[in-house]
Amino acid sequence: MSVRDALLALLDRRPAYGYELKADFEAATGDGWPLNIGQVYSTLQRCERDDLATAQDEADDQGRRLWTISAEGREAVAEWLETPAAPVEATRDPFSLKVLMAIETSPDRVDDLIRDQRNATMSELQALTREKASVADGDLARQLHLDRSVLLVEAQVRWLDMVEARIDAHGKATS
Amino acid sequence: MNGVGAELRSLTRLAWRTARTSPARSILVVALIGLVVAVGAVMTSIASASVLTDDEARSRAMGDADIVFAFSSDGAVHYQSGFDVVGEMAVPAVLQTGEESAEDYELRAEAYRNANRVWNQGFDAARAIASIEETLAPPTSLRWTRGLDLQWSDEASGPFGAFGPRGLVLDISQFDPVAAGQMVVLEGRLPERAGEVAIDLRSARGRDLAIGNARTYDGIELTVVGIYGGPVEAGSPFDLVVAEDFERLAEVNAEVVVSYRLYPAPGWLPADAADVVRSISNEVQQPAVARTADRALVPSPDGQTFDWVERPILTPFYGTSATEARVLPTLATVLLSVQIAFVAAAALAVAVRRRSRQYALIGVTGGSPGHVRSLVFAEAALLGASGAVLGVVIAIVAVRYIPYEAPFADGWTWGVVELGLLDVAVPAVIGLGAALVAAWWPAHTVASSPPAALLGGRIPSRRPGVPTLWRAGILLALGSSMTLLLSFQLENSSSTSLLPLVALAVLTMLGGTVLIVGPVLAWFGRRADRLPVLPRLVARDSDRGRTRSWVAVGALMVLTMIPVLIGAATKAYPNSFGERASELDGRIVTVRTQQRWWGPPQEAQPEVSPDVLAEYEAIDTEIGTALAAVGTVGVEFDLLELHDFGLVARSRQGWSSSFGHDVLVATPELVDAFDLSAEMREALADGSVVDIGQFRSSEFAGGDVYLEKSGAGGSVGFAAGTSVEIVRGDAYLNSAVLVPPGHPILERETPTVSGTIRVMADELTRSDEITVRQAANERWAESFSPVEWGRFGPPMDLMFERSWNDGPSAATVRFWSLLVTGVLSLLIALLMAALSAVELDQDLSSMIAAGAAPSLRRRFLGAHTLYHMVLAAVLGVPLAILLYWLATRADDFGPTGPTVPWTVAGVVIVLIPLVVAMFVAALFRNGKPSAPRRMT
Amino acid sequence: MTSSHAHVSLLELQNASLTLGEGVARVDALIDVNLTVTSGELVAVTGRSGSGKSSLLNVAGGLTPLSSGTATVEGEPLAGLKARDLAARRRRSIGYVFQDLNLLPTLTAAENVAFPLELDGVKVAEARAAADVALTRLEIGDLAGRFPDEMSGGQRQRVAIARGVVGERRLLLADEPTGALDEVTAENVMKLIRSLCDDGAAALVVTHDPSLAAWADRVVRLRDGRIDSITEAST
Repeated sequence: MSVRDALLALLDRRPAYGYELKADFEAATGDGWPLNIGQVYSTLQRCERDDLATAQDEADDQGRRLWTISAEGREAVAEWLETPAAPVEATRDPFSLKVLMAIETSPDRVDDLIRDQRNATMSELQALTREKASVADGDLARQLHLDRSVLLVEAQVRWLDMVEARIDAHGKATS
Repeated sequence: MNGVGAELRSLTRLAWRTARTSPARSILVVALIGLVVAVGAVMTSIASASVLTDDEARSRAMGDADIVFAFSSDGAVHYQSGFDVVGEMAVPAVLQTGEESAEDYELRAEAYRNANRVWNQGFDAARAIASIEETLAPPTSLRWTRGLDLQWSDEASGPFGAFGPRGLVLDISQFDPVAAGQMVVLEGRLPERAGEVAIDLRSARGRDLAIGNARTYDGIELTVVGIYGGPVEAGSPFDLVVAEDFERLAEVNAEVVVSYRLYPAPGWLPADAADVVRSISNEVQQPAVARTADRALVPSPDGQTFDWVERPILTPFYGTSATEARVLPTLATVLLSVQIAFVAAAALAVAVRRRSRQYALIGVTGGSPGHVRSLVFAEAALLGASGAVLGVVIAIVAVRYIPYEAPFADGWTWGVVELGLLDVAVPAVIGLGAALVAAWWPAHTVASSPPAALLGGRIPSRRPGVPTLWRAGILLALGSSMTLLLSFQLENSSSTSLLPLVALAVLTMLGGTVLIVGPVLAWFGRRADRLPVLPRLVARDSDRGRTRSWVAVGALMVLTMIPVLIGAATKAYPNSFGERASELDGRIVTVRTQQRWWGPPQEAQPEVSPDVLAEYEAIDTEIGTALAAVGTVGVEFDLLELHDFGLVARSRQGWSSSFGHDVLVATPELVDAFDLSAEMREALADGSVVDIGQFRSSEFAGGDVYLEKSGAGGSVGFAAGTSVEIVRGDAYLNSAVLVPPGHPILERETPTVSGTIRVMADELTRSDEITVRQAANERWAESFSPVEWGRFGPPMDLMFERSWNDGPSAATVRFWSLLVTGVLSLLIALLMAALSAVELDQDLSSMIAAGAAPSLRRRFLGAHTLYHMVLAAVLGVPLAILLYWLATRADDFGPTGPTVPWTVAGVVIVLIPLVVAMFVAALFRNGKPSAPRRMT
Repeated sequence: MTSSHAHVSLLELQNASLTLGEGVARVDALIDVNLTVTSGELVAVTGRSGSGKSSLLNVAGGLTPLSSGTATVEGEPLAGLKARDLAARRRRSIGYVFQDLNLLPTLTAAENVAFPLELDGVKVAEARAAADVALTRLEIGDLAGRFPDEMSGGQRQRVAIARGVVGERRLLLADEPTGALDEVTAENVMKLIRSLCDDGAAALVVTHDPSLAAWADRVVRLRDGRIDSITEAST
């Protein structure tokens, strides 16, 4: 759904071809959200169906059609931008699921599990940080994307620390 | 070497900048050091001013001379008085020249001779006189008399002090004192054989001797065969012995005193004083010197020639070598700086605490403990140097306002104290040293703390070991009881062997009191639960920081004791404190506790008419008789004070401070003859004799005349125009000069200073105990200015000598001691409180954040200060009272007299800080550092 | 990010153990820690409060003597050195950076940086020159004459780091160096530390912030005084 809104927002800027939209999208997301061209076209077709965008009737010599946003499409974009998105939910995160299950079902292995998980997450964080350090100053989108990734991964590490602390405290309280 | 220089520069620069970040504390330290240096420099230069120049030192040779001639340089008529040359003290004899008629002169001389204690030893004198007459150009006629005094010391003489009784040796083959009217035999007879003595009435009474009693002087037994009265030398009883015993007595540690008097004829002016001196000296085979008002003729060091020296000093008791003179003030400066160092140490400690994080950083970045220590010392050195400079500047300014006086031959003159280099350099070094000493404790505290611990912003406190109450209690009890017992012993014994015991007892008591501070602090700290927040905080913090509180309370205790001891001293020794003369507004309180050694008259004598002389003579005889009748010692009248009324009484302090006194005798006949005040008439109406010639012991400052009227204090009035009324208790009247209105003396430029009233009384105040009614005479009023009083000397044309009290009044001393110690205590307590506040800074902040009033910090400071001061007072005052008790017991502690209490006081002042410091050092060793805070 | 310096062991902890306090307050701050930091390395030390992170730093710098085991800096053991000699080692080899309050408030930036050298006896001019070099390296050469209260937090931290690496010092010990800074400034500071390590220094950074630790080549996690895990950055 968000992809549709994002493509419409790009169309809102100026009419474009499908492949252009794909390139713009990836550029704007700092290469952090690769799109399949097929996904682009199918999304565009859905937009056309919903009267949010229209395609040129005639294809050019390479068989590509120029897409244009409609008035309803603009409204949809405006509404999407102005409505705050829901924050990320934690419950369905597979990572958390694994940890919680481990605590529930194999409490004696929780320590090792947490350690291993943390190591892996930490390595990831280290890699991300290295990448962030090498980003060119002008590449704002990439920087922003990496920042977000770092923060998310960092949150995982912090949560693991908390898990460990709470387990320790819980263990002391019940022993 | 370059390395060290760079380090030092770096540290010094840092120290300077750091000192500026706590300006209040830095200024305090600078001011304190400046105070010490200024006071020390001023004191030292005053002491140095007492040092004699070479000439002055040489002129002390005059004291060795047996003959002193004084020549007046202006040829004016001066009275003539004879002086005794006694031992080392030379009192000049003045040769008078002038316009007097020969008859006048004769009369005067005769009268004077009669009035003086003059004993003829015809033999030598005649020869001497003949020789002088040969030497000098005529017309010269000299009368030459010679007397001989013998004095020795006698342990049994008790309060007469070092001089002891004096003996008079007469060659009665040459001289008959009775026939000369010099004495009256009251009982028995004069001695005729060796081993016989006649004593004067007063000494007979004083020593409880009667005819037939015998006394032994070092193996020589003398039996009393007669009792006489007569105008012999004031003050002491003496024994008249036959000349044959003279040599024997001379072996008995006696001093032979020779006196000479010359009575030249009018018109005589010695062409060459040196010749006179030399010839007489040769003749009598004794050293002689001569002087004028401002110069003295003294033998050269090799004794071969005579030299004139400027500004001769006439007392051997004045001035010391430069080094000696500086010792006492330097010592006092050191003592003062020790106390100051305490306060400065506290101030520095507070500053250092606040910067503990910085010191941690220095340690962490590579500064060694030595660097940190050097940093604190560098800061103290900078502050100390600034203080020293400040002190020097203050001293330079202050010294201009300090005049001093010296007893020169021309009387007491004023000089200006000069600031010598050494006078300034030594106190400056001491002040700087005090700053460095003060830095020791803060430097040690911070340098010995590991940087890791300091990073938390606190200096880890070392908790002293659990204090032992019983140990302290035992010491305290032991010391106190020892002191009490000894104090009782002191009353009965005057043995100096008690002194070490006294010191031991005092130290034990002090040790116990200091030790007990810790347990007391701990006790309060433990029982603080029920107290409200602020007292609880204070009590617990004082317990936790027991070391610092201990030091503070110890220092405060010392300070509490000082005013108490000073109060004791002023009470026990009122004689040492004079009273300043107040303004002469119809009443004056002039108390003089220092006597002049002699009083060469300053001014010329007005012409004396024969009638006056005759009157004087008549009075003189009467007085002599009257005195003899009551057994008083003799009167020596100073013709300077010969006035119309003829009644002169002037102190002839002669040769000894203990023995000078005056006599005023007013018989009923005299009362009629003189214009005495109604009160005095009344007082004398019953015919009692007002005897003011009683000699007293040195318990009174210098044998001043004691005025008594039939055993009770009374008032003495004098001639109209001027009266002195002493209406209280013990009053020493030295002399009373009566100057009626219109007296020619008032016409003179500078009327004679002619008398001193000495009033000695305990706790003399400016109240109306003593009243002087001044003549309603404008001249007098305007000639007196408040500025003038307090000095004496030629510019003073007051009827009474102004007395220059030797020292501050007792009340002044007490006030200042209270003020100074009060301020110092407050400073110490406040600074210790500030230290605690810094330690508790975070706690106080969180308390304020949690809702306590913002004034919490101020109230904490106040409560902390109060707690320590109260504790110090409670612990220190009983101690001080005990010491006071001890001090006032020890009146007669050995021949050195009242030095023991001052010794005790000295012990307190000097040793307490050392004792406290020793205890603190011991505590530091015993303490275990608390666990350093772990950083997370 | 290649280093032209040969890799030298700057810090070596072998079986390092540290026990603090006495009696009831006795605690094992470090238990049998083995750690080596070579030049070019940025090592992060993480762990919860009380895990021993700060003790590790104290021990590395000789601020606290080990209870057992050895600590060696630049090949020379710290054991048995007197306070003066330890201070000398700190002057010449070890630099400390704390979270805040790193600088002497009465000295300028350049003077702060030059301070350890001056304490070592280096001439003022030389020390000042070295300080300028260090400040320039940390991109704040123009702040040489400023006092700490005239600089921002990030600038102050850079001065502290400059002081940590001035002269011949190569081992930087940092305790939450970016704790008081905002994200962007923190990142810049870490970048500088990273580049210093690339030039041959080594840094041991104690932090509880994972994103900070992520700058390290190696993340050492402490738990109750022991090393719980070591995470190497994939090269």
